[in-house]
Formats: sequence, C-alpha cells, structure tokens
Amino acid sequence: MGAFLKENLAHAHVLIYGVLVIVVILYMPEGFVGFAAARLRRKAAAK
Amino acid sequence: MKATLLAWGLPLVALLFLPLWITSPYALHIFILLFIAIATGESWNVIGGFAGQYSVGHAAFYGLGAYGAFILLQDRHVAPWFGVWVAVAIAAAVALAIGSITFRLRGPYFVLASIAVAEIIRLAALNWKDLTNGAEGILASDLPPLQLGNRLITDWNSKIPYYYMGLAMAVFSIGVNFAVKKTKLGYYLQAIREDQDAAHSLGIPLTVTKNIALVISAACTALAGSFAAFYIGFIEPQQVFGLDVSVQMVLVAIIGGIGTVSGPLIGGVVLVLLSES
Repeated sequence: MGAFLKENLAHAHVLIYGVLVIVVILYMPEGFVGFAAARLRRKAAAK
Repeated sequence: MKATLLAWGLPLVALLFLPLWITSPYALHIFILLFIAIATGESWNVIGGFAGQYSVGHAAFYGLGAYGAFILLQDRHVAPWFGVWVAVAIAAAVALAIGSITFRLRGPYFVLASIAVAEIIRLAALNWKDLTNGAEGILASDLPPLQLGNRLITDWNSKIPYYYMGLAMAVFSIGVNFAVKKTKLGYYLQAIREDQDAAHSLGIPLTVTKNIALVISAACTALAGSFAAFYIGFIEPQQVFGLDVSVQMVLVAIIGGIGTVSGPLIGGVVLVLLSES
C-alpha cells in the first residue's frame, strides 16, 4: 500500500492542498474558525 | 476570560515540555516549520485580516528579514541575535515607504501593487550580486554560539534551541495579534476593513492607520524570515522573496480564518501537516 502510494500518488498532497483551498474559499469563506463558530452559534440558537 | 487563558495556556505548557518526550529530529523539524507558518500567518493577519488589505507581497519583508540578518553576519560579523533586530528595523522602514505609496490604492489595485513591490525587491536582490551574491545565494557558515557572560547557552547543533526560538516567535506573533485586536488600533482597522469611506467620515486617518498595521505586520514577518533563514542555513532570492512565500502566508490565514487570532494557528497546522505528509 505504502509503495503503491509512493509510486503513483507521490504528489497527491498538492492535489489535496488545491481541493482544500477551493472548498474553503467556496464553502467556508471565513475559514475553519469562522465555520466552526457559525455552527456553534446555530446549535446554541436551536436549543 | 478564564476559559480563553486555559485554551491558550494548556497547549503552550504542553509545547514547552514536548521536546522532553519527542526527541525525533524529524518531529521537531515539523514543529519548527509549524511555528514559522503560524508566525508568518499571524503577521499577515494584522494587515490582511484586521485591516482587510490583502497584501500578496509580504515575501518582501520576509526576505528583507532573512537577507538583512544574513548579510550582517557574513559581511560585518554581527551575531544573529543583534542582526535580526537591525533587519526587522530595515523591513519596518521599507514597509513605511511602501505603505505610503501603495495605500493610495484600494482593492485589487493594492493587491497588484503589493505583488509588484515584492517582485522589484526580488529582482534587486537577484541582480545586486556584490551584496546578496545573486542567484547563488548565501550559505550561513560559522553561526556563533549563544553565550550569556561566559556561560554557553547553545551552539545550535541540535534542533531543540530552534524549537524553543520558533515557539517563542509564534507566541510573540499571537500576542501581537491579541494586542492589536484589543486596542483602539484594532477597532480602527476593523472599521477600515468593513467600510473605508464610512471609517474616514468618522475621523479615522486611513493612511496612517493602515501604515501602522503594515509596519507591525512587516516587522513580525521579517522576524520570522530571519529565523527561518538561520534555521535552513541558506538563502537565495527565489526562496525568500518568491510569490509562493507570500501565497503561503495568505493561505494559512484564509484557510484557518481570516481576521481571527486562532485562524492562522489552525491554518498553519492544516497546511504544514498536508505539505509534509
């Protein structure tokens, strides 16, 4: 498994990095901290 | 308040004692990279997060910090712990000059101007071979040992002194963010971020306030740049003045949470772990 990943997906972290940046910009414009804070606020309001 | 102190204090105490348990040089290397990412992200956050001025040319200050301290060591034999402060002062002075010109611009025009300034400084470093050694770069040799009186503190042969210096630098940057956020300057910057014209109409001096934020941000970035350069032991223009250095700082803040103190910390953890995986 390790050898397969090293051989075929040696630069997969760059892909993950790019996807992460796009996902954060599109769905979490205030970043992880802003997203978590909004979720907590919504949860508290629902209670 | 108590919860905030606990949330920041407990991880800090754990990090202070971490090298007692973790002795692997690779693990310590990851932590040092993490501290550099946090320090640069927090530094950028002062101008980009609080003031909303998206500078994509912060590599200029990072590189000035790195080159300033390195050149003082190689050419004038000034020990890094003194040379670093001179480099920080140079970066702050350059930031003041750059800010006075580029803060006349807003939005995407400011972003482009900040990139252009960083490129000008990179090209100057690349071509001023007598001072910077051009594309060949500078290798740090003979880093003098740190002594207090006659007592040797460290000779820089292990990663542990770099770990503690990196931790101190990251904590300092976080402290600067807290200080800026809680003072009048922080409120001014947030007002400017939300609506520059409204802030101006309320009597907030736009250029002066943004310049102060840029100088603070540049000084912290230069400090991180100096530290990173001495840790790596080699610098060349593309490595410290490159656009990718600026983008890395911006991404750390954006992914973690822009305009928050804990955001660049989270962003730094995510990006360093990802790039080192």
